[in-house]
Formats: sequence, C-alpha cells, structure tokens
Amino acid sequence: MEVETRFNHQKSRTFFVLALFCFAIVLSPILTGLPTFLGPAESWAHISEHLLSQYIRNSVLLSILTLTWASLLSIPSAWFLSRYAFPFDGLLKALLILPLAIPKYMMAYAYAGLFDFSGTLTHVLSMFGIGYVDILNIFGLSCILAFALFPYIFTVAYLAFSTIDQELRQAARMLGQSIQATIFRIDLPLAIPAILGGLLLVLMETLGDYGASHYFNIQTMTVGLFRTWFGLGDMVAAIRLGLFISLSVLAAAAFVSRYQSQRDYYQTTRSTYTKERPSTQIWTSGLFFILCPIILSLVIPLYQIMTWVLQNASDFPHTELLKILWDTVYIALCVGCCATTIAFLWILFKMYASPKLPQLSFELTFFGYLIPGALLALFTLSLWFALNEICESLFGLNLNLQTMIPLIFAATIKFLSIAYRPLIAVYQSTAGELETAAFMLGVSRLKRIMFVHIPLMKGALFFGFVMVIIDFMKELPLTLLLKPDDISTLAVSAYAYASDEMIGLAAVPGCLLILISVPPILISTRLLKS
Amino acid sequence: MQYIRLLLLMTVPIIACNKTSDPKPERAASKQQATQADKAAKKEINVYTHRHYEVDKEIFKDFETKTGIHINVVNAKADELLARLEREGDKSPADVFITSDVARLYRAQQKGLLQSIDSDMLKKNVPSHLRDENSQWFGLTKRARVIAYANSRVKPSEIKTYQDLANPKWKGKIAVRSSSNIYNQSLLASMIAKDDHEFVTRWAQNILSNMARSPKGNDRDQVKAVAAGVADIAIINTYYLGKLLNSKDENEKSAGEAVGLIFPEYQAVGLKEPGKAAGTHINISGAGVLKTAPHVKEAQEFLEYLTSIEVQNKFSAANYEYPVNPKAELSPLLKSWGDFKEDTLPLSNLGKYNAEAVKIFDQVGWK
Repeated sequence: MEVETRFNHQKSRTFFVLALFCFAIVLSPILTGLPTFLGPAESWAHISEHLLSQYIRNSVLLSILTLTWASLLSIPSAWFLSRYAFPFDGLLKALLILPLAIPKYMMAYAYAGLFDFSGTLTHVLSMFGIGYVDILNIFGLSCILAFALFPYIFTVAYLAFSTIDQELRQAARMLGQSIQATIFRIDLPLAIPAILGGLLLVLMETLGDYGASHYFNIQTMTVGLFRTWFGLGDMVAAIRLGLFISLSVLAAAAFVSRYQSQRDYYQTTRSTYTKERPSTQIWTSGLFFILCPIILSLVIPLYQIMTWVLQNASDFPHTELLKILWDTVYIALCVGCCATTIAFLWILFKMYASPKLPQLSFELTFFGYLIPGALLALFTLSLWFALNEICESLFGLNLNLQTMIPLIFAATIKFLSIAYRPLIAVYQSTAGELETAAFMLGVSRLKRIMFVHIPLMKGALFFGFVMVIIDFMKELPLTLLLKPDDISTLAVSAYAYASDEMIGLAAVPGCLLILISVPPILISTRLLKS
Repeated sequence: MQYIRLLLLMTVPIIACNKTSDPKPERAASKQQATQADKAAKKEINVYTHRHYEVDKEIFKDFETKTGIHINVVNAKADELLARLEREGDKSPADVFITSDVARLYRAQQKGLLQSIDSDMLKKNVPSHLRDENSQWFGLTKRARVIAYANSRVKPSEIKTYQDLANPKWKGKIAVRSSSNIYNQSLLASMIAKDDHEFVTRWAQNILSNMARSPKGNDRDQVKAVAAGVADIAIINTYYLGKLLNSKDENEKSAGEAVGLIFPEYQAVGLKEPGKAAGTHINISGAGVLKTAPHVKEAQEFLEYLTSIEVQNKFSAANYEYPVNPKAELSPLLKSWGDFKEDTLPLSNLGKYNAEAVKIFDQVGWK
C-alpha cells in the first residue's frame, strides 16, 4: 500500500504538463479547423430531408456486413493457425497478412474487372451455367472491403489465441469438453477484447472508405460528405457529416477501450506454448478456412492486377516510376519514425502522468484517424498558414510552403493510433508491473525507460512502425493535398490513372505499391511470431 | 535534472525527424529567403491541374523547351485544388488552375480566385461561348455528352433529343452513371438554364424510371453494359468512347465497337425559352489565371500556347477531345462521328445551376 502511494506520487506534474502540451500539438489542426466551419450550413435541410437517412442506413449496413465477412475470414484462420502445427504455417500466416498491401480501391477495381461483362470470373461462371453476376452493390462492396481489411482482425486474433494459457484448454479437455466447447467457452471469450480492437480498425476503414464506395456508388456517409462538399459546394454541411462519422467511431472506440481495460486479456505463457498436430478432420477444415481468405483476397485480385500490368507495363513512363518509388518509401519512413516516437511518448505519459489523464484523452488524440483524410489535410493547411502568418509578423520569417513537414505532420496524426495500439498491448501485459518493480528497486526514471521499457517494447515499436509505413503508402487524400509539387507517391500515381478510367495503367504503380509493401509485411509477421 | 535529461531525450528524435523531413535543406532555405519578386523573376509557372493525361505531360514539356519557362505541376481533383487554393490565399504559388469541367472554373471565379486576362490571341483561339465573358477562364477542349446506343438493337433515328430518353418505351433500357458525377450534374444544369424547374425534375424522374440498373461505375462501364445487353442506350462523354476504341484490352475494344453515337439536341418546352432548340450538351476542360499568380505574363503565354492550333491538334489526336480552336483539325476518329450542332449556352450557366441540379437529383432519388 505504501509502495503504491509512493509510486503514484512519482507520477509527476512535469509529465502532466508535457502531455497536455503534446496533446495540444496533435489536436491543433482539428482545433484550428473546426471553428471555421461552425457557421450555418445552407444545404443541411436538404440533406436531412432527402439523404441523411439513406447515408446512415447504408453506412450501418455496410459496416455490419463488412465486419461479419471480415470476422469469418480472419477468426477461424487465426484460430487454426495459432493452435495447430500446419506445414508451412509461417508462409500461410504471411499470406493471410499480405492482403493489407492491396489498397481497398485497387481491390474494388480488380473485382469489378473480374466480374465485368467480359471479365475472367464471368467467363468461368458461365462455364457452370451461371450468368452475369452484378457485384456493384452494397453486398459486393462489403465482401471486397472485408477481403482488403480482414488482416487487421487476423493479426490481433492470432496473437490473442496464441497467448491463451494451454493449461486452461487441457483442463477443459480433461473435464470432457469437446473442441467446439473449448472454442466457445475458453478461446473466443479470452480473445474477444483483442478481436474487438481489430474490428474497430476495420470499422474505421469501412466508414472512411471513399474510393471503393464511390466507384460502386453506395451512398455512405463518407460518399455523402464528398458529394456535399463538391456537388453542393457546402463545406460546413460536409464537415457536419464528417463529425457525425467521427463521433460514432469515437463512441465505438471508447466502448472497446473500456471493455479492454476491464479485462486483463494478454497472458504470458508463450514460452511453454507448443502447437498440436492436427487430426485429419482438423486438417481439412483448417485448410479450408485458411486457404479461402488467401484465394479470395490475394490470388484472385492479384491475377487481375497482374493481367493489367502485363498489358500496360510498356506504356508506363518508366523513368518516373523510380523517383515515385523513392519518394514513397522516403516519406513513409519519415512518417513511421514520427508516429512511433510520439506513440512511445504517449506510453510514457500514460505511465507517469496517468492518474490525471483519463483514457479518453488518449482516444481524443486519435481523432485524426477518424477524420476523412481530405478534411484533415485542409485543417493542417489552415494551421500551417496560420503558423506562417505568426512567424512572418513576429520574426519576419517566411515558412517554406513546399516542404514535406505539413504532410508528415498530418500523416503522423492520422496514423498515431496504429503505432500506439501494439505499445499499449505490451504496456498492459507487462510494462506496468515491471515499472513498479524497477521503481521499488530504486532505478531512476531515465534508466527505467532506457533499460526496461525500450527493450521491452522494441518489438511492438517496430511492429507499429511497419504498420504505419504500410498504411501510409496506401494513403491517398492527405498525400494528394499536402505533398510538395515535385513529389509523387505510388498511390497518387495509381489514383491519377484510375480516376481517368485508365485502370490498366493504374495497375502498374498499384502493383509496385503491393510489391514494396511485401517486405515490411513479412517483417511484421516475423515480429508476430516472436 | 532527470526531467531535463528526459526532455532532451524526447525532443532529439522529433527535431531529427523534422530535419530529415525536408530532403533539400539548401533549397528550403533559399526559398525562404526568396521574396515574391524574386519568385516572379524566375522563369517558371505553377500549374494546379485536375487533368492527368500523358498528352498533357508531353505538351508541358514542349512548352518548356520552346519558351524556357519551367512548369511545376500539382495534380489533384479540382475540388481539392480549389480548397487548397482558398487556404493558401494570397500566399498561393499557383499561377494557372486547370479543370476538366466548367463548373469548377465557375466556382473558382465565384470565390474571387481568378483574374481577367486580356489577350487577343485567346479571344481569337477560343469561341465566345467557350470562355468567360470577363475573360477569367478559357476552354481548352470540349467533350460532348452524348448517347451511345446498341448497334444491333436500336435505330439511331429513334432518338433525336435528350427528352426522347424520357419516353416510357425506354423503360429498363438506359445505363447512366451516378449523379455525383460532374458531367451528369452539368447536363442537368444546362437544362435548368433553359427550362422550368418542374420540367427538368420530371425529366430526371423519367430517366430514373427508365434505368436498366441503379447508377454505378464510370462512363466506360455504361458502354460495356450496353455491349453486354444489360441496357440498350447509355449516356456518356464522347471522349471515353475514344478511349475504349483505342484500348489495349480486346474486350474493351469490342464493347466500344458494339455501340454507335447519337448527338442529341435539346428542345426547351418550359416558359423560359419555349420551343427553342439547342444543340448537344458540351462541357469543357478549361483554365484560368489566378488572381494571386506571381507569374501572370508567363501564365498568359502558357494559355495562349494551350489554345494554339498545334497543341489543339494534339489534344484531339491523343485524347479524343474536341478542340476549342475552330481552326484545329479533328482526329480521324472524331471526324468519323460526324459534325454536330453544339449547345451555345454560355457555359457559366453550368456552374450557376450546379447546386440546383444536385438537389433535383437528390429529390428524385437518382443516386
């Protein structure tokens, strides 16, 4: 008890102030941007009369369907792979994470191409007497989004399943419980807090999707936002819709985070963990659940994308490609560094300033992830120009408008939560206890950070870093609006062609984007393993 | 002491990151010192463009070699560029704003972002209905919004006007893309400019009930739907058919070959201009010089170059767009589609009625 009080006393005011300062910086674009748009929205009456209910209905339905498909694709495969020793399980695991490399809009274009009137799959289906299947509807869109997004759930579910104490399962088996019973009574309940985190990411990505939903013409909130902004020219109403999305995701995030903090779900029995050998029955069903997602979200779309690449590669200006590739990697590395550094700071704040900082204040700083990229970009620009004005009037300094700082700043804010999640998982499992132990042993705070937390979180830091890089490389609107003129990224280049209905050419940078995402993803799989 | 060390430890990576974020520190520093006047002295222009065609890159390069004026390009959607321009205010480095439709140019003009350019050559190169009356923007190329019909199932004589599409005999036969698309919005806006609100609303309603499927995909997809027999007629922009016919994908090519084009007219019935017939609806890809442009002279030279016969020929040949310059030559493909009477409605109307068009689409439920 005494130690506890002393320990809490250690949580310092300096850190509290520092945390508030950093939070203010991260929230600054949103804080500067929002008040500009609190004016009257001319088209709001029109939107709420004709469109709002449709937007809400479609968004809710799309989210439910996507979450369902994504769970079906990820949870069974994660369970089988974590529990049983399949041959080539390392490879299979990597293949189940690889779809992360395919941007949602590329996935959508690929499937639309395959199910086109003259598409390959339409031909294949006609051989079985099945006519043209129209996938350009909410059902088709939800499947495609699930194909692109299920790895977010797979990674966390796999981690959660493989950290479940085996003795629990053995005890259940000895008490005569069937495998099915252990799944539903032990494995799933223990993994649910982690899986919820993955579901939350999928939900955010689904609600924030513009490219694929727009092509399929499904009127979701985000599609509505852009229509209001561009079609009706009413930015205030558009931002209201944006806030609507953000607040609903924030509510979901708060729920998940509450649920997670109530349960201490990560356990530390990995060292004794050995996978069982699968029986024949497990073999077949396991292989089915593992191969299905791989085929649907990797083999089939890649086939279409490669076909396009082979058709069009010769037309693509090759000299540009190398520069674009370098720019993409370079900026992604910068964003990765910044986001991981700040995420680590957040963990320190949580440790040393936490009693005064409720979890909600951390969730608030992830607001950037929930705001549509285009809006965040505009907010950042506002801030940058305001800053420029101040610098000019105070110091006569003219800030350079053609730097990558605004882009890297905005991208860091956007992807902060991705870098933070793995860290908080480690923190919740062990870091907190070790901090107390090290403190009791009289180790100074700096040493605790250097010799306890950094080594402990090394893996999680790197994992977050890699995930940020992968996500940034796919990111579109932020980069489009904030990039300096002489720089382009693969996603921007792919978009430029796709938006002009030259999907074949778009496939070239798209394919390169997928290729360069492979090494970071493989690294992250290895990290998951260790 | 501990705190200070910790603070130092934490700020180092942030500073390091910020430093690395600018790859060319010398360039940044020199740019910071450069005043607006210095910038203007350099022979360069900054172009914000929605167009992202290969032919544009070639044309820009030719301009650079011919004039020695370097072009910096920012490529993004017109709306995003507009938002960026507004944010940048008088600090904007942009000289020229290029869009692929007139409504966005009109919007830029309404926001006071453009300036008038008094150039005899531009006036000569661009017919009056294709440029702003105050010379704040100029058309570069034209696209006609036309009807693609299934060669095998539809007689071209069956459709003469846009109103004919509203005829119940086409129930379940029309393919058209989403109303979020600017070309659909502009088409409806051109009707609103000529006709009564109720009539235009009824037309949109009738088209909706004649649709073969709910609106989805892009213009190419509409042609493919016709080729596949899902619909008999599609509303598309001419230039996408050109792209299809010249596609490397055999399936796309044959889809393009399965349709013919009708250039419909518009018969106003309402009170505004009853009975007046207008030609086929056209939209432009156009450009304007920004009010805050640091290089106005070079920007004007650039626009004159873009509307010159030489460049206009290239637009027509490589991108299947109709040139605005009447002296430019049509590409063989465009020639093969034949002459047509084009709507001479001043194009600023398309911008003026854009929001009203979107509202009509929403009211009738055209997604």
